[in-house]
Amino acid sequence: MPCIQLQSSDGEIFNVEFEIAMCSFTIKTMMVDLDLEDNCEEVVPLTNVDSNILRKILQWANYHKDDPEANPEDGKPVDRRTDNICEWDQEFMKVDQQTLYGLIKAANYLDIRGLMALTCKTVANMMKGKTEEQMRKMFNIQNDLTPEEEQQIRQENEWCEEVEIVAD
Amino acid sequence: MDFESLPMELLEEILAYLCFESLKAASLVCRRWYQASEKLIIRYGQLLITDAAAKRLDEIRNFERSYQALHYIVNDWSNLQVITADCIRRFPKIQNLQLDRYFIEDIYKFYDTYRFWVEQCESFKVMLAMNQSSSPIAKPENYELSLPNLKTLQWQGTSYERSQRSVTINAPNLESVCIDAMLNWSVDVRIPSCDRIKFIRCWLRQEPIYSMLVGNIFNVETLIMYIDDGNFNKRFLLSMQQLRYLKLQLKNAINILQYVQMMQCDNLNVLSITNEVPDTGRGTLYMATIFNCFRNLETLELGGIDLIVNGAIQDTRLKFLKLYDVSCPSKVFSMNMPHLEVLSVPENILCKLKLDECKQLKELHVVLESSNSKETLKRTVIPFVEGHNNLKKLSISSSKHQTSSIEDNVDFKDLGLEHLELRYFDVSIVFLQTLVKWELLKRLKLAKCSINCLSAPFITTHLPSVQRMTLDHVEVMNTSGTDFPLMIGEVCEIHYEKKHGSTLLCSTHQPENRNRRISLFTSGRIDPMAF
Repeated sequence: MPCIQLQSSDGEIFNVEFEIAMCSFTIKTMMVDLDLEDNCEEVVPLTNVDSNILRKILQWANYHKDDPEANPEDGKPVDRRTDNICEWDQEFMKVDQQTLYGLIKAANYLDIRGLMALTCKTVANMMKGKTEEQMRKMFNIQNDLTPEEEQQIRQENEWCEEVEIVAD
Repeated sequence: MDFESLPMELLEEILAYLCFESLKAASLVCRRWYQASEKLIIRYGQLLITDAAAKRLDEIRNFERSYQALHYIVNDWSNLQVITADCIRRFPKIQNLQLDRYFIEDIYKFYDTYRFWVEQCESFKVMLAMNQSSSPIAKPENYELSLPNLKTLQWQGTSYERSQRSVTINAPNLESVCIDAMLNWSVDVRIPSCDRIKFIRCWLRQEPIYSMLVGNIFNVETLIMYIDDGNFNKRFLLSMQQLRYLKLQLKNAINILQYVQMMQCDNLNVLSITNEVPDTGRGTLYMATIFNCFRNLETLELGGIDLIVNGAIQDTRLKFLKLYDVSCPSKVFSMNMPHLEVLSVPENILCKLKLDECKQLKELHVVLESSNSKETLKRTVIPFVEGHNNLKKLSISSSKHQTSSIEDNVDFKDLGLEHLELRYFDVSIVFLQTLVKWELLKRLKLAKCSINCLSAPFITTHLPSVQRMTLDHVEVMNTSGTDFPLMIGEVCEIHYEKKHGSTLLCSTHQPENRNRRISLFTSGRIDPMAF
């Protein structure tokens, strides 16, 4: 099995099966652009991903290597469900907030669509049913809206309802 | 490193997964979150305008969000004019308009007065008023609406005893049509240009859709229909050769089944025909013919009809097969379905079914019909499961009307399953204890079941391999403990309430709401357990 070497931001080098690394569109594009496909000696530096996060991502990619390729329709609003996370993924996402945050950023940087959806759904599930105050507390966010702005938003929200979607 | 500094595009991506109420809460968290959620609120939301808005025009004028979708429930015409003047000023570009509880003449008047504004719409939804209008009955009239940008039309009519009206909707770019009429349908809708229509959903009691769609309907890909009578237009169905999804809910199936078997659609993936009142006319379907008409069928659901196996069924692409209330005179029913993954059948079919080359089968759902579940399990279900090595999930339901019991002495040895589901059963605790030996069992679901602890009132059974247990209306009887008599895996979270004496009632929390509301009949998935 051909491998490539990925270097995390803190300098650790990971020997990764080609097929697993290809779940990242960023790495895929890099390989093609740099013409590295036949050259396994080269080390690919990932300056935005530290070793803890990279290890976690490789664990995820290894489990999901046989998944069908991401469906371009997955982003359609109708399919934006969050209750369809498989058990392995639920277990995998039991991490602290800092790791979760790191995974989202890294999934985005490496352009791994499945992991991106998983991490976003996980955060969305944490927020579901919470009030704005509970959300602030959960993510340690300061409210920088003035009372007038808050009033305006509340008023506009009051007028607003969800549109029924006709699935097709 | 924290969520406060999350880049905007990632924040938007996360918020897009929220349900609408949580999205509103998120918009109040801080300024950046407001900016991220505002776009989504505008995209998925609409402004609801009622008569009360006439007193709050200042608010409309000062709206920061530029909505493109408005929902009107304003019955007073003078209010309507005042409000609409402000709406047009504040929201000059609209895409989506919903007029709720109006009489047809008022809908036309609204359209006619604000034509320049309404004509922009890509989506138009009309819900006709339920009651009779108090205005004097006018002469029959034909209204004509031109909506050049319209892509989606939803029309809901109800009982409406007035002089006949007809409405012609000229919408050359129309792609989706949804028509629902609950009772008497006396507003006659005509849609002359249908070339681009891909999606039709209708629920009509009387007036058939094919007299409304006047033009060519060659390009329809999805047709979902509830039809009350058996008088069906043959040409309507046969002209649709691009269909991918066909779902028919009927009250008399004889004619329609004949026409369906004359169709030729190589694109059809999903076919669902269910006869709701089978006594009035079941109709006959020939299985081999169906697979000739639709060579790429992946999902097939049939209910309330007669089935005849006319010849070999070879190499189908079927992945999902669901049959219920189906009679089949054949003794054995042999089918070659190499791709089948989910099978949902009643016991009378399962005992006749011979599936060759069915290595992909992962789920079996069986509905037991006789009250002797022990015999059926032993003779039919268990041998079938043993014959299909890759089965992961087994779901057994007894009849909704007649709960049967699974006795202690059913020989239910480890079948190598990962997921077991029982519905409408009286289960004894001793039977559940046999599941301890099922080493691969990860999920257990009990729905509408009662657990009888008579033979072991004090014992809590522990199923170590099970990671998830779902309980839906489960009653525990004859227990002397106050805890639920089943434990699973490492973590066990069970919600129960104690009722009179020793009865525990359990129900899991409400299932999580789907993110976005989806209208009736549109789900692309067919629930194997909904009968």
